[in-house]
Amino acid sequence: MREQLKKVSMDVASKIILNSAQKEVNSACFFLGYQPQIPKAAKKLRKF
Amino acid sequence: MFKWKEYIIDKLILYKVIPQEEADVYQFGLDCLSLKLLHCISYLLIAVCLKLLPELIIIACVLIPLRRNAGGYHARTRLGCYLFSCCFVFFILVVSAINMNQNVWWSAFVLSNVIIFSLCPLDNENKKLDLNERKHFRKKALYILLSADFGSIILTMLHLYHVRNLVICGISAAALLLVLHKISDLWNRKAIDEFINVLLQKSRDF
Repeated sequence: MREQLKKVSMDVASKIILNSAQKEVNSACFFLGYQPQIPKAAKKLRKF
Repeated sequence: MFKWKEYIIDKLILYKVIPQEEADVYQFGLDCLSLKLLHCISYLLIAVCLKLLPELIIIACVLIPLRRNAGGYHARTRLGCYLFSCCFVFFILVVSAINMNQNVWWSAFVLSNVIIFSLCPLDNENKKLDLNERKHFRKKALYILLSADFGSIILTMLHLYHVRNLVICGISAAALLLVLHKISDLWNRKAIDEFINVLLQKSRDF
């Protein structure tokens, strides 16, 4: 049960993190904060 | 200092949630997420201190999508960006609370539209835009701008002047960031040109 919960929470965390990366790749710039450099591997997340 | 981001990514790789080859992508995503959280919490605190939380929410509904597609000024360091953005949000909230003549708001509205239409999108050092991206973001930014303009007109017709002023504030904030980017660009170019001239002069003297 504990292991399952750990797995689920990690899955959710990874989806949130990936979603965050996807949003940044698909926008012209980061909103008001420091613009981190986009790694080459992240360019495949581009939707257009 | 405990490197919590690397710890999280290592754990995700260890439990085979993400592949090793995509560690960079997730590192980048986690970086962005942590920056977003820090900035959002700071802006909310500033708004709560100024007792302007609903104003911040309305301005953010216009500024965030416009800024994300039009681009604009970014400071060079993380700390610089953080300090600049907190001061910028504070400044925008203070301006939004000032009781100004309607003509001032409408002038800001027209000027901001002209600025955004002529300058967007603007890229930055860490995210250069290619031709395809420029066309895409320009189109999106102009659609958002038109929607905000339309919203301002509807709000005026409904006599919701305070909300309309906040929308105009959001549009003006996006325009101001574009202007700051241009000024910073020209300043850097001037500084680079001067530096090159000094180098050439020194090499001739030598």
